[in-house]
Amino acid sequence: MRVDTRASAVMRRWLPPLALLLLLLLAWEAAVHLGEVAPWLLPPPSAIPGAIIDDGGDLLRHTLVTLQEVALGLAVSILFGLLVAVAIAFSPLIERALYPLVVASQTVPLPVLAPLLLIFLGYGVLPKVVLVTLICFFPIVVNTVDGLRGVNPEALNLLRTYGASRWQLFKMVRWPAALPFFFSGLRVAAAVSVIGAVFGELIGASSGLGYYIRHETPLFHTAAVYGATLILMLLGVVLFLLVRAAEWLLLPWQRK
Amino acid sequence: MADLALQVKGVSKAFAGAAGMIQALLDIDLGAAPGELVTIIGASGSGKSTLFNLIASLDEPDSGTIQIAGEATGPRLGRVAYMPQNDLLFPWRTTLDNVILPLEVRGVPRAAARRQALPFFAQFGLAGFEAAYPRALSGGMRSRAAFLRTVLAGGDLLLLDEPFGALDALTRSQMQEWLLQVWERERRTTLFITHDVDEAIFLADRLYVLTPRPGRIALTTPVDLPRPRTPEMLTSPAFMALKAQLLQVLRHTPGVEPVPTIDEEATQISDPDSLLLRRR
Repeated sequence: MRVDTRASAVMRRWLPPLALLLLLLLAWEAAVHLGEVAPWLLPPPSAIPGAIIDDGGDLLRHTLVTLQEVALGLAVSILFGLLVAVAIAFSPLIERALYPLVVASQTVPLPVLAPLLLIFLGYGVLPKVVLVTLICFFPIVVNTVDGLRGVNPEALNLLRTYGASRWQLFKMVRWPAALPFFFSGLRVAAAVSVIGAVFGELIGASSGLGYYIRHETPLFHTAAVYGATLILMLLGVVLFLLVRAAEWLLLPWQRK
Repeated sequence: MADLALQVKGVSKAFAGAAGMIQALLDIDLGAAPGELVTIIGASGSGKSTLFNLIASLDEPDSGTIQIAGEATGPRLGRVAYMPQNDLLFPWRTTLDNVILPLEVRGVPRAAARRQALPFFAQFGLAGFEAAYPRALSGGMRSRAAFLRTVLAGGDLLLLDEPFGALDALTRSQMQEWLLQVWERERRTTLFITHDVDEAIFLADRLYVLTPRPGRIALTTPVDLPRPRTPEMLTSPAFMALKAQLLQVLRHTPGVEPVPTIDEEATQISDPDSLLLRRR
């Protein structure tokens, strides 16, 4: 039997995870029914789509709030992360001054920081954006610094023999060489960005999926909580794929 | 001798190494007439690349002078086209955009630089690969692209630092013949570093032997083989005599020994790589 090789490659790639996911969902569904578990304790997976649709308007509104926080946080992380990375890569003084602080910023536990940020910045979007930024700028900085520094010195010398200025060395060698590293960092950042926003919302907010989850949980609307969680997961995955797509567009030489 | 394209006089250079100062170059005298192809042969560690860095003015000598076209002063950067050992094609640039790099650095707008470079692609065996990224090129094509970039860099002097060192023996000999064709058309003064005795003789008008630690000129000799050079010359009596002389000098160089061979001629025919010099 002849199979289109590309279709079969897609199958080989996606069949195992999808099959496993389906198996787990079936086991969950069966366990709930066979064990006669109360739906408020553990709803069957089949109840989740219904719960999402029932509360569709509310969920959409909260999703957009969370998405806004994540998008703003990522944007600030990219800007801030690149600036810090360039400064660290080019100035040993700034590196000595800044790098320890950058690392230290990652050691402060979020559960400690989040309530403080709420006190400082209120219950709105801002403290969540700050939390997202705190989580996201670190992988961007670390990876981009590695990329900017990892440039082959021979390549820089070659351009110097052409009479290149420092700016030209940056623009023509260091920056393009660092881009793939930056994107590695951004992929990690995108995947974890949602965590920061939701955490802030759980601590104190008046909207967003984290707020929704905190609001619905004491009411035992467990299926709705699972629905919101599913949306959060999808949000992270979509952001990750968006970064991948941007990478594909902007780094054509890396296409497989 | 004021009209020499390159004149290196009494140049010395030392570096701080793990075990004290290392004298990379000691009292080097070296010259190239306009349009001449000069090869420098030496084992690794003989300071060949240091010499090129000095000529390209990426570094300054401790003593001595380097003149290009009779001028000792003024920056040599931009007057010398340097081709490093590694082809150093940038993976993020297409072949065309790689070769125009020196023009872009000099401020030529990209479109104009591309127009200037395109006519060379056929001659350099790169036609059809203008838009390809370097990873799609073969080793020989990468070398030719790097060489085209060097040619487009302009300058009065081409400095080629073991440009074919990473290629397999067959591709290397093709590249040598091709390089000679281009050189005979352009007649640019060329300094070619190699550790391959055959390559050094085959290409050269004049040949310098550099000994390591400290790097100094052990021998300088004209190569009087007729041009154009052909692969048959590699086994001609004149070629073999010169090669024997060079190997003799290189063999008595401290710190270097040729790969042991039983019969030089037989080995030379069966495996041209076997006479490469190796550091002990």
